[in-house]
Amino acid sequence: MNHPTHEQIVALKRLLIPMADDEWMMGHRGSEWLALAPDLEEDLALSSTSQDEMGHAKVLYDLLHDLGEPSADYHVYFRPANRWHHARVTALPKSSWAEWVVRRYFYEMFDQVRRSALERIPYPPLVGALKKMDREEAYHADHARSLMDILAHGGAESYGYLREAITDDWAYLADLFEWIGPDESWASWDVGELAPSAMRTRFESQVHQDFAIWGIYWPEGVPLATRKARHHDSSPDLPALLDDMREVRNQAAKAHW
Amino acid sequence: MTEDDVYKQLQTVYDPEIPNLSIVDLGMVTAVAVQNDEVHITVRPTFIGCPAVDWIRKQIEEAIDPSRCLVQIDPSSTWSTEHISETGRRALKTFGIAPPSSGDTIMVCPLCGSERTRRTSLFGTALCRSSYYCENCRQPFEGFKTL
Repeated sequence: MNHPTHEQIVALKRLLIPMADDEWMMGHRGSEWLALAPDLEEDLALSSTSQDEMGHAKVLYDLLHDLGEPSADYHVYFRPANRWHHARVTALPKSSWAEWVVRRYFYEMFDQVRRSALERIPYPPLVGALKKMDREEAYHADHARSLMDILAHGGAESYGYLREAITDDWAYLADLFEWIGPDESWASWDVGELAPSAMRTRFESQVHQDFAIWGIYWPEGVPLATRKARHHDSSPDLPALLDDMREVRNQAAKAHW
Repeated sequence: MTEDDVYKQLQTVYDPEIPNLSIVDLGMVTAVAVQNDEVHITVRPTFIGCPAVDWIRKQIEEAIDPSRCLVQIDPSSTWSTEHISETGRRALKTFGIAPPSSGDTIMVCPLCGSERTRRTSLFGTALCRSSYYCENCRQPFEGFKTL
Protein backbone atom coordinates (compact mmCIF):
# COMPACT_ATOMS: atom_id res chain seq x y z
CA MET A 1 0.00 0.00 0.00
CA ASN A 2 2.45 2.65 -1.13
CA HIS A 3 -0.37 4.80 -2.44
CA PRO A 4 -3.29 4.67 -0.03
CA THR A 5 -6.80 5.36 -1.30
CA HIS A 6 -8.80 8.35 -0.07
CA GLU A 7 -10.60 6.17 2.49
CA GLN A 8 -7.31 4.73 3.70
CA ILE A 9 -5.83 8.21 4.05
CA VAL A 10 -8.78 9.26 6.21
CA ALA A 11 -8.33 6.12 8.32
CA LEU A 12 -4.57 6.69 8.72
CA LYS A 13 -5.23 10.24 9.91
CA ARG A 14 -7.74 9.01 12.47
CA LEU A 15 -5.16 6.59 13.84
CA LEU A 16 -2.06 8.77 13.70
CA ILE A 17 -3.30 12.13 14.99
CA PRO A 18 -4.18 10.66 18.40
CA MET A 19 -0.79 8.96 18.61
CA ALA A 20 1.16 12.05 17.53
CA ASP A 21 -0.73 14.20 20.04
CA ASP A 22 -0.15 11.70 22.88
CA GLU A 23 3.58 11.59 22.16
CA TRP A 24 3.77 15.37 22.01
CA MET A 25 1.91 15.85 25.28
CA MET A 26 4.01 13.26 27.11
CA GLY A 27 7.12 15.03 25.83
CA HIS A 28 5.80 18.43 26.85
CA ARG A 29 4.63 17.40 30.31
CA GLY A 30 7.83 15.43 30.83
CA SER A 31 9.91 18.50 30.01
CA GLU A 32 8.10 20.40 32.77
CA TRP A 33 9.80 18.10 35.29
CA LEU A 34 13.26 19.14 34.14
CA ALA A 35 15.34 20.35 37.11
CA LEU A 36 12.59 19.22 39.47
CA ALA A 37 13.16 15.44 39.40
CA PRO A 38 14.28 13.83 42.67
CA ASP A 39 17.82 13.10 41.47
CA LEU A 40 20.26 14.02 38.73
CA GLU A 41 19.90 10.70 36.87
CA GLU A 42 16.16 11.27 36.54
CA ASP A 43 16.69 14.81 35.38
CA LEU A 44 18.93 13.54 32.60
CA ALA A 45 16.53 10.71 31.78
CA LEU A 46 13.66 13.19 31.48
CA SER A 47 15.58 15.30 29.00
CA SER A 48 16.15 12.21 26.83
CA THR A 49 12.68 10.68 27.13
CA SER A 50 10.95 14.01 26.50
CA GLN A 51 13.16 14.76 23.51
CA ASP A 52 12.51 11.25 22.16
CA GLU A 53 8.72 11.64 22.49
CA MET A 54 8.74 15.04 20.80
CA GLY A 55 10.91 13.59 18.02
CA HIS A 56 8.45 10.72 17.57
CA ALA A 57 5.56 13.17 17.47
CA LYS A 58 7.40 15.16 14.77
CA VAL A 59 7.89 12.01 12.66
CA LEU A 60 4.17 11.25 12.94
CA TYR A 61 3.13 14.84 12.12
CA ASP A 62 5.47 14.64 9.10
CA LEU A 63 3.80 11.39 7.99
CA LEU A 64 0.44 13.12 8.38
CA HIS A 65 1.74 16.05 6.36
CA ASP A 66 2.62 13.62 3.55
CA LEU A 67 -1.02 12.47 3.74
CA GLY A 68 -2.26 16.01 3.21
CA GLU A 69 -2.44 17.40 6.75
CA PRO A 70 -0.94 20.81 7.59
CA SER A 71 2.68 20.93 8.85
CA ALA A 72 4.04 19.76 12.20
CA ASP A 73 4.49 23.42 13.21
CA TYR A 74 0.82 24.11 12.52
CA HIS A 75 -0.27 21.12 14.57
CA VAL A 76 1.83 22.10 17.55
CA TYR A 77 1.78 25.89 17.48
CA PHE A 78 -1.39 27.01 15.75
CA ARG A 79 -4.04 24.28 15.95
CA PRO A 80 -7.12 25.26 18.01
CA ALA A 81 -7.70 23.39 21.29
CA ASN A 82 -10.76 21.52 20.01
CA ARG A 83 -8.69 19.94 17.21
CA TRP A 84 -6.26 18.15 19.55
CA HIS A 85 -6.89 14.43 20.11
CA HIS A 86 -4.53 13.28 22.86
CA ALA A 87 -5.83 11.20 25.74
CA ARG A 88 -6.44 13.41 28.78
CA VAL A 89 -4.02 11.46 30.98
CA THR A 90 -1.07 12.52 28.81
CA ALA A 91 -1.83 16.22 29.37
CA LEU A 92 -2.77 16.25 33.07
CA PRO A 93 -1.02 19.11 34.87
CA LYS A 94 2.08 18.23 36.84
CA SER A 95 1.24 16.99 40.34
CA SER A 96 3.39 14.56 42.37
CA TRP A 97 6.48 12.63 41.28
CA ALA A 98 4.64 9.34 41.94
CA GLU A 99 1.85 10.46 39.64
CA TRP A 100 4.37 11.16 36.88
CA VAL A 101 6.04 7.75 37.39
CA VAL A 102 2.65 6.01 37.21
CA ARG A 103 1.53 8.05 34.20
CA ARG A 104 4.76 7.24 32.35
CA TYR A 105 4.49 3.54 33.16
CA PHE A 106 0.87 3.26 32.01
CA TYR A 107 1.60 5.28 28.90
CA GLU A 108 4.71 3.29 27.91
CA MET A 109 2.87 -0.03 28.36
CA PHE A 110 -0.04 1.25 26.29
CA ASP A 111 2.25 2.74 23.66
CA GLN A 112 3.94 -0.66 23.11
CA VAL A 113 0.56 -2.27 22.49
CA ARG A 114 -0.51 0.51 20.14
CA ARG A 115 2.71 0.45 18.10
CA SER A 116 2.54 -3.29 17.59
CA ALA A 117 -1.09 -2.91 16.41
CA LEU A 118 -0.23 -0.06 14.02
CA GLU A 119 2.75 -1.99 12.64
CA ARG A 120 0.28 -4.42 11.06
CA ILE A 121 -1.02 -1.73 8.72
CA PRO A 122 0.65 -2.33 5.33
CA TYR A 123 1.77 1.28 4.82
CA PRO A 124 5.59 1.11 4.53
CA PRO A 125 6.43 4.69 5.63
CA LEU A 126 4.46 4.12 8.86
CA VAL A 127 5.90 0.67 9.55
CA GLY A 128 9.44 1.98 8.99
CA ALA A 129 8.90 4.89 11.39
CA LEU A 130 7.35 2.66 14.06
CA LYS A 131 10.16 0.10 13.89
CA LYS A 132 12.66 2.88 14.52
CA MET A 133 10.63 4.15 17.46
CA ASP A 134 10.47 0.63 18.91
CA ARG A 135 14.23 0.58 19.41
CA GLU A 136 14.23 3.87 21.33
CA GLU A 137 11.03 3.10 23.22
CA ALA A 138 12.50 -0.17 24.55
CA TYR A 139 14.66 2.05 26.79
CA HIS A 140 11.59 4.01 27.88
CA ALA A 141 9.64 0.91 28.86
CA ASP A 142 12.54 -0.55 30.89
CA HIS A 143 13.11 2.77 32.58
CA ALA A 144 9.42 3.32 33.38
CA ARG A 145 9.30 -0.14 34.97
CA SER A 146 12.42 0.49 37.01
CA LEU A 147 10.91 3.68 38.48
CA MET A 148 7.73 1.80 39.43
CA ASP A 149 9.91 -0.86 41.03
CA ILE A 150 11.71 1.74 43.16
CA LEU A 151 8.44 3.17 44.48
CA ALA A 152 6.88 -0.26 45.03
CA HIS A 153 9.85 -1.47 47.08
CA GLY A 154 10.87 1.80 48.71
CA GLY A 155 8.97 1.33 51.97
CA ALA A 156 5.50 2.13 53.25
CA GLU A 157 5.63 5.83 52.40
CA SER A 158 6.60 5.44 48.75
CA TYR A 159 4.23 2.50 48.34
CA GLY A 160 1.44 4.72 49.65
CA TYR A 161 2.24 7.45 47.11
CA LEU A 162 2.28 4.82 44.39
CA ARG A 163 -1.12 3.41 45.36
CA GLU A 164 -2.64 6.87 45.51
CA ALA A 165 -1.27 7.80 42.08
CA ILE A 166 -2.53 4.56 40.54
CA THR A 167 -6.02 5.25 41.90
CA ASP A 168 -5.93 8.81 40.56
CA ASP A 169 -4.76 7.89 37.06
CA TRP A 170 -6.79 4.70 36.65
CA ALA A 171 -10.00 6.55 35.80
CA TYR A 172 -8.27 8.35 32.93
CA LEU A 173 -6.76 5.28 31.25
CA ALA A 174 -9.89 4.41 29.30
CA ASP A 175 -9.38 7.30 26.87
CA LEU A 176 -6.03 5.95 25.68
CA PHE A 177 -7.69 3.04 23.88
CA GLU A 178 -10.00 5.14 21.77
CA TRP A 179 -9.21 6.34 18.28
CA ILE A 180 -11.07 9.18 16.59
CA GLY A 181 -13.77 8.35 14.07
CA PRO A 182 -15.70 5.11 13.63
CA ASP A 183 -13.97 1.70 13.84
CA GLU A 184 -15.17 0.95 10.30
CA SER A 185 -12.54 3.43 9.04
CA TRP A 186 -9.74 0.86 9.21
CA ALA A 187 -11.87 -2.24 8.66
CA SER A 188 -10.41 -2.72 5.17
CA TRP A 189 -7.02 -3.66 6.71
CA ASP A 190 -8.57 -6.45 8.75
CA VAL A 191 -6.23 -5.73 11.69
CA GLY A 192 -8.07 -6.97 14.78
CA GLU A 193 -5.34 -5.60 17.07
CA LEU A 194 -6.49 -2.04 16.28
CA ALA A 195 -9.82 -2.57 18.03
CA PRO A 196 -9.92 -0.63 21.33
CA SER A 197 -11.13 -3.77 23.14
CA ALA A 198 -8.17 -5.81 21.79
CA MET A 199 -5.64 -3.14 22.82
CA ARG A 200 -7.22 -2.88 26.26
CA THR A 201 -7.02 -6.65 26.81
CA ARG A 202 -3.32 -6.76 25.89
CA PHE A 203 -2.55 -3.76 28.08
CA GLU A 204 -4.42 -5.22 31.05
CA SER A 205 -2.65 -8.53 30.81
CA GLN A 206 0.78 -6.84 30.90
CA VAL A 207 -0.09 -4.48 33.76
CA HIS A 208 -1.80 -7.23 35.77
CA GLN A 209 1.40 -9.29 35.54
CA ASP A 210 3.59 -6.34 36.63
CA PHE A 211 1.26 -5.44 39.51
CA ALA A 212 1.55 -9.00 40.84
CA ILE A 213 5.37 -8.64 40.91
CA TRP A 214 5.15 -5.32 42.75
CA GLY A 215 2.45 -6.51 45.16
CA ILE A 216 -0.02 -3.95 43.92
CA TYR A 217 -3.72 -4.70 44.23
CA TRP A 218 -5.32 -5.18 40.82
CA PRO A 219 -8.24 -2.72 40.54
CA GLU A 220 -10.13 -4.85 37.98
CA GLY A 221 -10.33 -3.90 34.33
CA VAL A 222 -9.76 -0.47 32.86
CA PRO A 223 -13.13 1.34 32.60
CA LEU A 224 -14.73 1.84 29.20
CA ALA A 225 -14.49 5.23 27.51
CA THR A 226 -17.05 7.11 25.51
CA ARG A 227 -16.42 7.27 21.78
CA LYS A 228 -15.77 11.00 22.18
CA ALA A 229 -12.97 10.40 24.68
CA ARG A 230 -10.34 12.04 22.50
CA HIS A 231 -12.35 15.14 21.69
CA HIS A 232 -11.72 18.20 23.81
CA ASP A 233 -14.53 20.55 22.86
CA SER A 234 -14.90 22.07 26.30
CA SER A 235 -11.76 21.13 28.17
CA PRO A 236 -11.07 23.86 30.75
CA ASP A 237 -7.32 23.05 31.10
CA LEU A 238 -6.28 22.69 27.49
CA PRO A 239 -6.30 26.36 26.35
CA ALA A 240 -4.06 27.23 29.31
CA LEU A 241 -1.69 24.39 28.49
CA LEU A 242 -1.48 25.46 24.84
CA ASP A 243 -0.89 29.12 25.78
CA ASP A 244 1.91 28.05 28.06
CA MET A 245 3.42 25.70 25.47
CA ARG A 246 3.27 28.36 22.76
CA GLU A 247 4.35 31.33 24.85
CA VAL A 248 7.85 31.64 23.41
CA ARG A 249 6.76 30.94 19.85
CA ASN A 250 4.01 33.54 20.14
CA GLN A 251 6.57 36.25 20.92
CA ALA A 252 7.20 36.22 17.18
CA ALA A 253 4.79 33.80 15.58
CA LYS A 254 5.79 34.65 12.02
CA ALA A 255 9.54 34.43 12.59
CA HIS A 256 11.61 31.61 11.17
CA TRP A 257 12.85 29.55 14.14
CA MET B 1 35.94 17.29 -7.00
CA THR B 2 35.69 13.48 -6.93
CA GLU B 3 33.58 11.39 -4.58
CA ASP B 4 36.74 10.49 -2.65
CA ASP B 5 37.47 14.20 -2.19
CA VAL B 6 33.94 14.67 -0.85
CA TYR B 7 34.36 11.84 1.66
CA LYS B 8 37.72 13.28 2.73
CA GLN B 9 36.04 16.65 3.28
CA LEU B 10 33.15 15.04 5.20
CA GLN B 11 35.72 13.58 7.62
CA THR B 12 36.03 17.18 8.87
CA VAL B 13 32.35 17.40 9.82
CA TYR B 14 31.94 16.24 13.39
CA ASP B 15 29.13 15.30 15.71
CA PRO B 16 28.54 18.53 17.66
CA GLU B 17 28.64 16.72 21.01
CA ILE B 18 31.49 14.31 20.24
CA PRO B 19 33.96 16.65 18.53
CA ASN B 20 36.42 13.97 17.36
CA LEU B 21 33.81 11.69 15.75
CA SER B 22 33.11 12.48 12.10
CA ILE B 23 29.67 11.97 10.59
CA VAL B 24 31.26 9.47 8.17
CA ASP B 25 32.57 7.30 11.02
CA LEU B 26 29.28 7.72 12.85
CA GLY B 27 27.64 6.05 9.85
CA MET B 28 25.38 8.95 8.92
CA VAL B 29 26.50 9.36 5.30
CA THR B 30 24.67 6.91 3.03
CA ALA B 31 25.43 8.28 -0.44
CA VAL B 32 27.69 10.75 -2.20
CA ALA B 33 27.33 11.62 -5.87
CA VAL B 34 29.17 14.23 -7.90
CA GLN B 35 27.27 15.24 -11.02
CA ASN B 36 28.57 18.00 -13.27
CA ASP B 37 29.20 20.74 -10.81
CA GLU B 38 26.83 19.56 -8.08
CA VAL B 39 27.59 17.47 -5.04
CA HIS B 40 24.67 15.39 -3.75
CA ILE B 41 25.02 14.00 -0.24
CA THR B 42 22.48 11.81 1.51
CA VAL B 43 22.60 11.41 5.28
CA ARG B 44 20.43 9.48 7.67
CA PRO B 45 19.48 10.77 11.11
CA THR B 46 20.66 8.79 14.14
CA PHE B 47 18.23 9.11 17.06
CA ILE B 48 14.79 10.30 15.92
CA GLY B 49 14.62 13.31 18.22
CA CYS B 50 18.25 14.37 17.77
CA PRO B 51 18.21 18.16 17.50
CA ALA B 52 21.58 18.31 15.71
CA VAL B 53 20.40 17.24 12.24
CA ASP B 54 19.87 20.74 10.83
CA TRP B 55 23.13 21.94 12.32
CA ILE B 56 24.96 19.00 10.74
CA ARG B 57 23.36 19.76 7.39
CA LYS B 58 24.73 23.31 7.53
CA GLN B 59 28.19 22.07 8.49
CA ILE B 60 28.18 19.70 5.51
CA GLU B 61 27.21 22.49 3.12
CA GLU B 62 29.94 24.72 4.48
CA ALA B 63 32.57 21.96 4.36
CA ILE B 64 31.85 21.25 0.69
CA ASP B 65 30.61 24.48 -0.91
CA PRO B 66 27.19 25.93 -0.05
CA SER B 67 26.65 27.09 -3.64
CA ARG B 68 26.78 23.59 -5.14
CA CYS B 69 26.19 21.14 -2.32
CA LEU B 70 22.75 19.53 -1.96
CA VAL B 71 22.18 17.64 1.29
CA GLN B 72 19.25 15.29 1.56
CA ILE B 73 18.13 13.94 4.94
CA ASP B 74 16.67 10.48 4.42
CA PRO B 75 14.51 9.52 7.39
CA SER B 76 13.50 6.24 5.77
CA SER B 77 17.03 4.84 6.12
CA THR B 78 17.48 3.17 9.49
CA TRP B 79 20.68 4.02 11.32
CA SER B 80 21.97 1.65 13.97
CA THR B 81 25.03 1.62 16.22
CA GLU B 82 26.45 -1.13 13.99
CA HIS B 83 27.01 1.56 11.38
CA ILE B 84 29.69 3.20 13.56
CA SER B 85 33.09 2.35 12.03
CA GLU B 86 36.10 0.96 13.91
CA THR B 87 37.69 4.42 13.70
CA GLY B 88 34.45 5.81 15.11
CA ARG B 89 34.51 3.37 18.03
CA ARG B 90 38.09 4.38 18.80
CA ALA B 91 37.13 8.06 18.61
CA LEU B 92 34.34 7.48 21.14
CA LYS B 93 36.76 5.79 23.51
CA THR B 94 39.34 8.56 23.16
CA PHE B 95 36.66 11.12 23.92
CA GLY B 96 35.76 9.15 27.08
CA ILE B 97 32.56 7.43 25.97
CA ALA B 98 32.42 3.62 25.94
CA PRO B 99 31.49 2.41 22.44
CA PRO B 100 28.15 0.57 22.05
CA SER B 101 28.25 -3.03 23.18
CA SER B 102 26.74 -5.89 21.28
CA GLY B 103 24.22 -7.85 23.29
CA ASP B 104 24.84 -8.05 27.03
CA THR B 105 28.60 -7.70 27.00
CA ILE B 106 30.16 -5.76 29.86
CA MET B 107 30.86 -2.07 29.29
CA VAL B 108 34.61 -1.56 29.61
CA CYS B 109 35.57 1.66 31.38
CA PRO B 110 36.95 4.01 28.69
CA LEU B 111 39.11 5.72 31.33
CA CYS B 112 40.98 2.79 32.93
CA GLY B 113 39.98 -0.27 30.90
CA SER B 114 38.43 -2.12 33.84
CA GLU B 115 35.45 -4.42 33.42
CA ARG B 116 34.29 -3.73 36.98
CA THR B 117 31.57 -1.34 35.83
CA ARG B 118 27.85 -1.02 36.46
CA ARG B 119 25.12 0.91 34.72
CA THR B 120 23.68 3.65 36.90
CA SER B 121 21.00 4.86 34.46
CA LEU B 122 19.65 3.86 31.06
CA PHE B 123 19.86 7.53 30.10
CA GLY B 124 22.70 10.03 30.00
CA THR B 125 23.52 13.59 28.99
CA ALA B 126 22.44 13.03 25.36
CA LEU B 127 19.85 10.84 23.63
CA CYS B 128 22.55 8.40 22.54
CA ARG B 129 24.13 7.64 25.93
CA SER B 130 23.59 5.71 29.16
CA SER B 131 25.35 6.41 32.47
CA TYR B 132 27.85 4.02 34.11
CA TYR B 133 30.15 3.90 37.11
CA CYS B 134 33.57 2.26 37.23
CA GLU B 135 34.27 0.48 40.54
CA ASN B 136 37.97 0.33 39.71
CA CYS B 137 38.87 3.97 38.99
CA ARG B 138 35.77 5.20 40.81
CA GLN B 139 34.72 7.49 38.03
CA PRO B 140 31.33 7.92 36.44
CA PHE B 141 31.40 7.56 32.65
CA GLU B 142 28.99 7.35 29.75
CA GLY B 143 28.46 4.55 27.26
CA PHE B 144 26.87 4.77 23.83
CA LYS B 145 23.42 3.16 23.79
CA THR B 146 23.02 0.17 21.53
CA LEU B 147 20.37 0.69 18.87
